[in-house]
Amino acid sequence: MSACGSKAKDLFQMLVAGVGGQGSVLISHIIASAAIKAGYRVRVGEKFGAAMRGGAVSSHIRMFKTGEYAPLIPEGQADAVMALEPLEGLRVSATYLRPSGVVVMNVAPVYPVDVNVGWARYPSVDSIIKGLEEMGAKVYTLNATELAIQAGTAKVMNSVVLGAFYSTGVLPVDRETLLETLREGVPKGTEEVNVRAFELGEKALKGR
Amino acid sequence: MRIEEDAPGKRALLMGNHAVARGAIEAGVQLVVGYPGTPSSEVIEALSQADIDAHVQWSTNEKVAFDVAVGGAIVGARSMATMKNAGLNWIMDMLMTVVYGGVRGGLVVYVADDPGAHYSSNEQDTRMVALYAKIPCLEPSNQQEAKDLTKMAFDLSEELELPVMVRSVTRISHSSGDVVFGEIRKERNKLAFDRHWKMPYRWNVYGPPGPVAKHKWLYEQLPKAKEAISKIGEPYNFLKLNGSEFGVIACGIAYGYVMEAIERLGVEVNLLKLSTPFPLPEEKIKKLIESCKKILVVEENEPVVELQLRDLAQRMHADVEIYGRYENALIEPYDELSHNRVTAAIAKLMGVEFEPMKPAGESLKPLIAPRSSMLCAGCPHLGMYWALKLALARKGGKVPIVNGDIGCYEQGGYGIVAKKVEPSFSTESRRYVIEAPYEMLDTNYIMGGGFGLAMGEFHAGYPDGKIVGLAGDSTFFHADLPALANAVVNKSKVLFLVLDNRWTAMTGHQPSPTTGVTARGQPTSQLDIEQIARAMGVKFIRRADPWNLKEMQRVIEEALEYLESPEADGPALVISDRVCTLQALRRKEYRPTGTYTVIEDKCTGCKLCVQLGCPANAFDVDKKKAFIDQVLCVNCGMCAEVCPAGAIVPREST
Repeated sequence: MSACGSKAKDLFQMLVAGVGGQGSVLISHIIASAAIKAGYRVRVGEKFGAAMRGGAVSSHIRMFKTGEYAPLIPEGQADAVMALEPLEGLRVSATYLRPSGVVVMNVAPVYPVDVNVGWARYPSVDSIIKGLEEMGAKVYTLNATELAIQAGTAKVMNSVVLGAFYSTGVLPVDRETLLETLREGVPKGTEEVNVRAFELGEKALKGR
Repeated sequence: MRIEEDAPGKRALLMGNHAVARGAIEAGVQLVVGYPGTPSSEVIEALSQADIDAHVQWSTNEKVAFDVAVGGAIVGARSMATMKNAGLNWIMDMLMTVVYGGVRGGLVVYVADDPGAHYSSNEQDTRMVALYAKIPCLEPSNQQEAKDLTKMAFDLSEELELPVMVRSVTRISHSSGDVVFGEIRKERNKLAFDRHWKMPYRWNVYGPPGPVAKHKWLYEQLPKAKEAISKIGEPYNFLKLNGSEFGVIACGIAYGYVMEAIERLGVEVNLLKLSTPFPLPEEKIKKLIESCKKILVVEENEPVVELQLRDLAQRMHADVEIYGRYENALIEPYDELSHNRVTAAIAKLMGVEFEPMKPAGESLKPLIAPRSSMLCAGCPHLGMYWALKLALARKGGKVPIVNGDIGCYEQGGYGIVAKKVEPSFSTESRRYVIEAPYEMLDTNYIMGGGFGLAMGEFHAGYPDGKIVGLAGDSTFFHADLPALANAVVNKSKVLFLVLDNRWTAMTGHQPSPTTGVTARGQPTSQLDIEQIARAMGVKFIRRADPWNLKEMQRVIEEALEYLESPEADGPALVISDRVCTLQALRRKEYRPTGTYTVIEDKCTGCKLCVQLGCPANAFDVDKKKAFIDQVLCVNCGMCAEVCPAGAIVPREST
């Protein structure tokens, strides 16, 4: 784990970003629960609720071995961002990611009402990637929504992105623990489709 | 993972509210009541699903909930009432009175405040109420303490025979952390009633010796409360002196921010970590005052500890400068704490340099489109707002006023973030263009406020348009029944719109009195708003399905016409009658048989469908054509009804 943004100790900080309804809270809890199994203490700071459906949702995840931490990551200090939607990936990365951080991003956009009614413009995915790379970030992209449909349902898009995120090697949790926690955390009866989604995501970034 | 698991030592990820629920279980809670309010609702949600020997209920409002909890505590049960910040305002009557004589079983008031107003209409600090009511207040710094202090609160309540407040904030309640489970208290308090228990007429504030004597009793409990608080040690309350002339008090959630800031700045301070904002652990505070020249209090969000500290320092005649969020604040008394705010305050206190941490992607900000919050695809409120907009355009007069309420439909007042709005200084009524349902509400403050505001506007004689007051099913029973009676007897000729979607949806779909199930999921009576309104004397009542836009518009227009008619002598009531789409989908009461799509050749690019405000309706700015998100579409057909070109059709038909 790089110690560039985070201080040189056992602290890993990441965000999960998405649009309400995409399952970012569930996936962030799966990551944090897996980190607890891996021996970390954790803080997950987030906002959610029915009011957040269709709104921007982000979870701050901080894993540490010693010390006391607030639930939120300071600006410009996150090691990584896992983005379920490109605009939301850009939003949190611009604020919280450290310059050399890692971004794994689903490129399928969900347009905000502000864009639909014509008061704002949705940035092109290319411009998002270019901007983040100019900031110094290492950006990985995939169309996780398509892969999720391939796995069985668009609902498991979050697990596809998790698989892709895991495959970059930034997460200080081993594969077995993560998959075990994924199986425990998803709704009963959806374990297999979620694991399939994870594996599709895992392969999606191979070779890049 | 089950939160009721009898597994002391187990370490698991718990949301703050689930940690509070676990604390109540460990304390052997017998009665849990509350009204949903973000960010507090998950306590009862978790307890209602737990296999525990306790009565768990959603009450019709916080006042009822708290009265129920007090009743339980009077007969000796360990009882808890849960609510959000604004909910506490509803229990003030009983709270300010029940402390005159107190309780027998432990009574815990769990309140989740919302600094930063993420989900709330204000940033009130309910710890002020603990001082006012003179009851102990415990405030956790993390999820572990949320569990531990909830458990402790029951013991403290029984020791002092007073209600105890557990005060949380959004960043505790809705954040998660690793929590180690403790022992579950197996015995249950024996239930008993004794009219004169330890005090004549204990449970009747008027009973001799009367309220003043019982107020005196309350003051006599204060030294006992201070004594009990003084015994609370690490990790909840502790003082670490290290010879510095600077002191920092970190209360509740501030602790994490302060510890990070101290490390970030590489400084040493005398640190008082505090989980009891009232009463304060005076001996520890006195030692801190004696050891420091300057003290900073970091707390969320009013200067509750700070004002008490200033009082104590004055009584000690101490030569110490005190800083916090009061006058000459190092942290302004609004908005929530942040790393930069806390670090900058400590740096300024000590006169050291601190360059605020900055986003790395500042130059990317112009790329970022805002994302205004939206109602769900196929939400009944979308249809109701569409119909209301058109009905008011035709029959609402020059400048109608729509008074809102709290619930998902309050998003009808969130506006479009990207749209620039300039303040107006007009002396005349002004009408504005409404482009989205998110611009429909003209006023909105609190639960049940819309009905009252509408009556006020009417009786003041507002001349320029029709007046509408909104409510949901849950808020109708929470606060609007008295307002409706008021409107009938005072002949308030206004339109009341009740958006009955059968659930308290915004806080996470808790049952309302129109749902027909209890918190525990058992079938129960399903109350009918129409029948109730009729019994209360409302003469004009209509209901319509908001997915049927024309029908909904027609009944609203009829109601507006009625209010103009000679026979009108009171309010008109329209019920928007359709179950929450999201909940219907989840419970498989509604199964979409397909989706809608746009025939591009027919689409004129008028964007009327987008103005419906459904997240499934989007617009391709390059093609200048509407399209429908096939993942989000729930086949309600409202946008097809809106489209003037007939370009939106069921997908199967293409």
